[in-house]
Amino acid sequence: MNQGIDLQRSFVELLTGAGLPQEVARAFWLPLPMVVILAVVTVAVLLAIWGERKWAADMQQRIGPNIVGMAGFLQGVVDAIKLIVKEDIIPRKADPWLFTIGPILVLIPAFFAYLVVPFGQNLIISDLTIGVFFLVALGSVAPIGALMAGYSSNNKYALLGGLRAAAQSISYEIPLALSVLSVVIMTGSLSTIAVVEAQNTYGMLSWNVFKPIVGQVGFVVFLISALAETERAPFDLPEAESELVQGHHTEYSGMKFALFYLAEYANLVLGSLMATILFLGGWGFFVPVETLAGWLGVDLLNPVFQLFAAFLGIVITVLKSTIFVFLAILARWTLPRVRIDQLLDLGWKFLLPIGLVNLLLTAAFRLAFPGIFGGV
Amino acid sequence: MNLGEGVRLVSFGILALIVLGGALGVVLAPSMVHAAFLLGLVFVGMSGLYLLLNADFVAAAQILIYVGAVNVLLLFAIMLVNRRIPDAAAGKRGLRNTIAGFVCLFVFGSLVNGVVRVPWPISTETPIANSTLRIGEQFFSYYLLPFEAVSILLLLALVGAIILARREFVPDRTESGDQPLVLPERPRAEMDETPKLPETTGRR
Amino acid sequence: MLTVNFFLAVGAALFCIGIYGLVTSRNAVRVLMSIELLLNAVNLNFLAFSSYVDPVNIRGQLFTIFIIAVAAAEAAIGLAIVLAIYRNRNTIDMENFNLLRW
Repeated sequence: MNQGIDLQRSFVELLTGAGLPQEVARAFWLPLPMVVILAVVTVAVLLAIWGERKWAADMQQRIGPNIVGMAGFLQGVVDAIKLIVKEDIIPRKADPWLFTIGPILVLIPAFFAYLVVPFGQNLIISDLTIGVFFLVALGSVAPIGALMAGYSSNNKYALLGGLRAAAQSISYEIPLALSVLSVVIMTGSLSTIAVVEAQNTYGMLSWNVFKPIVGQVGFVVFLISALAETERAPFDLPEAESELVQGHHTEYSGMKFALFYLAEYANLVLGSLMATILFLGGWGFFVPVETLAGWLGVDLLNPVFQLFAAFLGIVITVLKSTIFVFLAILARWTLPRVRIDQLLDLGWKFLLPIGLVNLLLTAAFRLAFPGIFGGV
Repeated sequence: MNLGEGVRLVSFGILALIVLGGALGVVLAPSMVHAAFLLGLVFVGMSGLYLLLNADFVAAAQILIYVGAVNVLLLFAIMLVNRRIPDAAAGKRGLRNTIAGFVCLFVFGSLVNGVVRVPWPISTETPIANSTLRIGEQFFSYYLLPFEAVSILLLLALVGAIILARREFVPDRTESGDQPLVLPERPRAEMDETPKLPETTGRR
Repeated sequence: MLTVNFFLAVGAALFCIGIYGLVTSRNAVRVLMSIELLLNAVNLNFLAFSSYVDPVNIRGQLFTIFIIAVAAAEAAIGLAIVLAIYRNRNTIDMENFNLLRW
């Protein structure tokens, strides 16, 4: 398709044009993706928190935050400042090292995963050949952080919460991976860019969610397991306030609690972006970009149109993932919490077999109807 | 991987330090839980070394399986078995550990000696770009039989682990004589019928 | 210049640390951890050879994946056995596992 915009090359060219040697320009480029990730994730998390508060308030017929900033938009910032300036308490009997590393370990994988999330043809930090597998692998690191936080707090509720978080997380990783694998079979590549491009050949119709049977089943399995992976209601067993106080968050306060909070919303946004990329065609518009260029009557390689397409891609990705964030919030404020045995039953006895059958069906369909299911 | 040679060397040094330091911690740390978390650090460092060797798929598999599954299992076992009693043996009990240490140093010396002396047939071919694709091709052509064997092994391990860890086969009386936890999900009648294993007096 | 010897030396050191832990520790879980260290050392050697000696067919990576799968099975079974022994004998000290001695 089109080559789009190569940000790194343009940036390096800009700096070399300003009289810097190429190596120095490259060195300037290196920290930029990190800064971009930090900024994007923080803004996304703030938006998600604001959305959660406003929507939750709507569902409960109250107004929600409405004082700080426009319509309470800056409430999250104020909360963050409050948490940062709070005293950092480490319980006397806690293990201070593990107590500090725990929340960091929960947060780091969530941030790393944004490396492979594409917002457009070239709007990705690094297009790894194993992108989707990388996402799944990073998702499996989080239970270590929960166990660490739970153990080091030296508190029975925290330990129980940590163990529950780990059990839940490793149980739902398997159906999640299976539903992701069926997408990979349909794509024939593990790169996130390739996954999105394979879904945008015929516009909306080739999105994975519209693939007959396997698309919808995989989508539902993915949504449930991703919601369980983020450990939010109705699957918020690890932190169930009314049973376990706050689970492995119990002893945390100040900045360390803020890290947990940030990680929860970073994971929520990440899960929504993953659902967008894997099933809803990522940055793809409802029609292919060539058709769009035809409608507007401009050349596909026109730089202004390219800029417009890149911008449209970002907007579309954000809009699609907002739908999923909204769904998660809707589930949280309308559904009651499941019991731990129901949770594990759902994962092992329901989602896992369905995921396996779906995987087999996808492979069979790909062999039988290669035109629809991405065969050769 | 088009990392510069210097960057590769420095990252190799850091990763080797992480791996070896973490491994020493795993073996010597007095607390089992610390040892298990350090083992996770070793696994992450190893996956970094794998990346330096152009094995990105294996590195991700290492994170997924070792860190995400094996390490979590180990932590579960430690936290379920007992979290208080430290492993008293590590670092103490002088003579045996000293001898073992010297033997290990000797083995290390001879291994390094061998590594340096053997002229390895270093290949000059350029590494292939997409290792994942090649791995898949190999699995389903030349290595199909081992692949299937590993699948069956995993299935057996799954079933075996469940059977071994099930509570129904546990005798009710423990060696120390105190009553174990009575699980609410086990009905009383069935529990009375369970044949009691003969008391074993372990040699301590 | 990064050569194959560097990786092999790290693998050898890791292997020796693993052997030391295997021999000296009395806690069954730590013995399992030492076995994981050994397997990782072997994996590192396989990948080093795969990258430097056989970069086209990458057979070392295949063997590494087999080893990882077997290690996962080994850890699951080993820990289940440790748990069963702990329930029966209330200890995980290797020197008390002498039920089958005579």
